[in-house]
Amino acid sequence: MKKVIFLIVIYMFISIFPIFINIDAATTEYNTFSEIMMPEGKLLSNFTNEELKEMYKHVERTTGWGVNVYKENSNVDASYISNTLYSVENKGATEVKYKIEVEVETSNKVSFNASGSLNGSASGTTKGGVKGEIGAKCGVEVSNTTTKSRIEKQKLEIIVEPNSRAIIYLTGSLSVTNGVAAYYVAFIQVCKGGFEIVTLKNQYARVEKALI
Amino acid sequence: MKKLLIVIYVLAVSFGALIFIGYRRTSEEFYYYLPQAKSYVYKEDRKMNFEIYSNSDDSIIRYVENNEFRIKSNDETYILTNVSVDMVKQENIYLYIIEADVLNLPYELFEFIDAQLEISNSKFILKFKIDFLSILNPNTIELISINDLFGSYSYVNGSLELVGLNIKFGDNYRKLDRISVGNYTVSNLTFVLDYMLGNEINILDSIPNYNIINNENNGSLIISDSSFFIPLNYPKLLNITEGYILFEIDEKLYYFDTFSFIVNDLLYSDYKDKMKLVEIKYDNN
Repeated sequence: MKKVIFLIVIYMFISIFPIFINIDAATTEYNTFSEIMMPEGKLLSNFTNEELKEMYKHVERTTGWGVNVYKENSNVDASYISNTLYSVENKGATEVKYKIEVEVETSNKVSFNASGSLNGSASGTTKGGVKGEIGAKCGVEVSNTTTKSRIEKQKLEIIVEPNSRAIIYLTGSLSVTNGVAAYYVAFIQVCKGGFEIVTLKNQYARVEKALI
Repeated sequence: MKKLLIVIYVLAVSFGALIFIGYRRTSEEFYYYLPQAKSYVYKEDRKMNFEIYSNSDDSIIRYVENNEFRIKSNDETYILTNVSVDMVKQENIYLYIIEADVLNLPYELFEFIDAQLEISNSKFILKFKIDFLSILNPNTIELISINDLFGSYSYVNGSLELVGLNIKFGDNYRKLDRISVGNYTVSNLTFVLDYMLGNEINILDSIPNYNIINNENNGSLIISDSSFFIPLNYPKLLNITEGYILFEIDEKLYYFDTFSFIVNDLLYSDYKDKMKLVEIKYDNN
């Protein structure tokens, strides 16, 4: 009997252990964007504690093993403005030709973000991990490994008039799926929290000038 | 007994041949490319790039030192220099990005039409068509001052294509007679809107008469303080992601430097219907 209990404990330990490692595995690049505009719903960072509590009620029902997911926003199309890629100012009295070099990352990326105790558990395991399971339940493939992306360097020359600033940035479209999730191991809730999956769809470059 | 041995021998040979054919079939590499109109402004240390999609995750073309990259146009051959090849996994296919120095040509404006990019190594020669490539080496053509610029894309026959430019001109210009991305697209200035559209639009919502295929430049535009949406037409629809812009303003030519309008890796699955098979010639001795 002792042996059986010992084996069960070992098995549970092995099952739980992988979800406590690789805490930094979740990628949240979209958090660096200067603005994300959602026509409906809101981002995880804008949910109040009361709203989260209300949503948690949907995931309190225990599942024997795995993730219980409640989606508040499912594949909501949104647009974004990235941070400035390049900025140059001409404070002089005559126009200046600037040679500039812009680095743009060209890849279709899926970012995963989590809050609460889920944040430390959304890691990769060989079976896909909590992150992968949440993604699967939301119909989005969330990779456990960092997707290789290409950095494209573009050089261009641009005229900047006196007392003007030229900036280059990216805009584009993305889709947002967020909500709350709870992870259960042998009917025991191991962690819960909010999650957000953001899929970058398109990135467009824009050059703009403004008076200083 | 002898007959039985012969039968077994024939069966074994046939089985081996079947396995060999099956193996060759499954290990056969294929390469695709998306017909594109590419354009670059030449400057020292500038790069141009070509994309090839393949089912092979370890194609020999990755190993630059084992390959020669050249463009063939009519009877001329241009060897590409400082080549690098990067690979990005895309769903179930691999995108190879071949980057090389922009060709330094003794012309202010040079266009390759229906040229060929050839990649040769000990295994094969890949030949794929460069539908349109133009290189501007500005000498008399001046750099333009633009206050705002971005492209608008719309779905045309199921894929996202550059259908227009949103522009706010600088103060020094009066009348626009022609605008072209890479000297490939043509401009229909009779359909210009005096406001900007978004990055992703349905062009027919804004310009119901819009037809992407058109050969001729039409109309002119009196430049004001306004921002404009200028629709683009194509003699033949080729995908455009980046390029320089050529302007004819006040009877003078200007250019805007090579600019990325969209900075995604183009997904094979999104443009599948438009992909063309690259010709492979094996046994390259």
